[in-house]
Amino acid sequence: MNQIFRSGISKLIRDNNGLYQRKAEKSLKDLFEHNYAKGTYPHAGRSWEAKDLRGKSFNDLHEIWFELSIERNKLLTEKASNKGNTLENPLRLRKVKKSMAAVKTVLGERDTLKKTLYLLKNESNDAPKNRIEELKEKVAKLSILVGAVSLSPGLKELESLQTALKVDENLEKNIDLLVENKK
Amino acid sequence: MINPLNKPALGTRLMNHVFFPNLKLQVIRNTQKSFPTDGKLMFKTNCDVGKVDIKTYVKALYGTPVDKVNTINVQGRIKQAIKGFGRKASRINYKYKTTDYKKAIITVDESLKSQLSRKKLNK
Repeated sequence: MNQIFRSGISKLIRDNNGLYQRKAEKSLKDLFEHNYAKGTYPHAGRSWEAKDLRGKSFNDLHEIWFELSIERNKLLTEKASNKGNTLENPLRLRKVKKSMAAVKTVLGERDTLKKTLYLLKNESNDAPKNRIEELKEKVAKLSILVGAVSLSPGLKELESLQTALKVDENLEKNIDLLVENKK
Repeated sequence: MINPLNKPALGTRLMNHVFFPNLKLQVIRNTQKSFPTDGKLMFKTNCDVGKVDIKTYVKALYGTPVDKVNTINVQGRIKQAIKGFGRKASRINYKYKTTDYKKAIITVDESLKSQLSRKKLNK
């Protein structure tokens, strides 16, 4: 896990369901935590990149966004309260910004896939072939990036359009039979 | 949009069901010192943020209900550019403006004032 968000993420714990949950209670104290001891330096790792976040679900991204915004507010208050408006480790704020941008790129990819799937569904049979082929190419490119993540949690009509989420029931049944026979 | 988390995340007049709000709340220097007595905190935010947005944002991020929000729009100061450094510094006929911002003062219930108070040492 990245070291920059150590203070933020360490409060989060993974459930059995794979969701993050906060360990400590939220309070206004999260605005002021930067009282470093003498001689110490706040080390920072690398920021979140888009490839790290692509597999995550909507809820996970939502939690990460909130933790990042808490971190940003904390750093901005530290910057304002310090002498000369300087951070002790000035790269931290840029890393938070970059990782917030990465969350937005991942959301944007899912949004464009959703829109193109809608267009493909509503396209009539009389439409020119070039138009449909372009849309299919776009879907093929984006579906590799997005993977098996539900584009719109709660909307089952759209989930049926996604090929990555579809499961071969016959294949799964055969696998189950094989496992049972071995036992 | 359907709420996938099944919990009230952020429901306001303007930001209805926004799961990724992009606000900044920067505490202005030394305003937290009087918080244990007044229950007030002063923030610096963007100009396009409303009172209701700040209320729900603080509730969602920090889990503290806010009773009242007062806001003031502050215009950026006009400054004159300076050329050179030290003794050779001289003013140029070029003026620029710093960014505008909004001050936001929140008041919190009396029971929540102990959040920022320091613990007393046991003698």
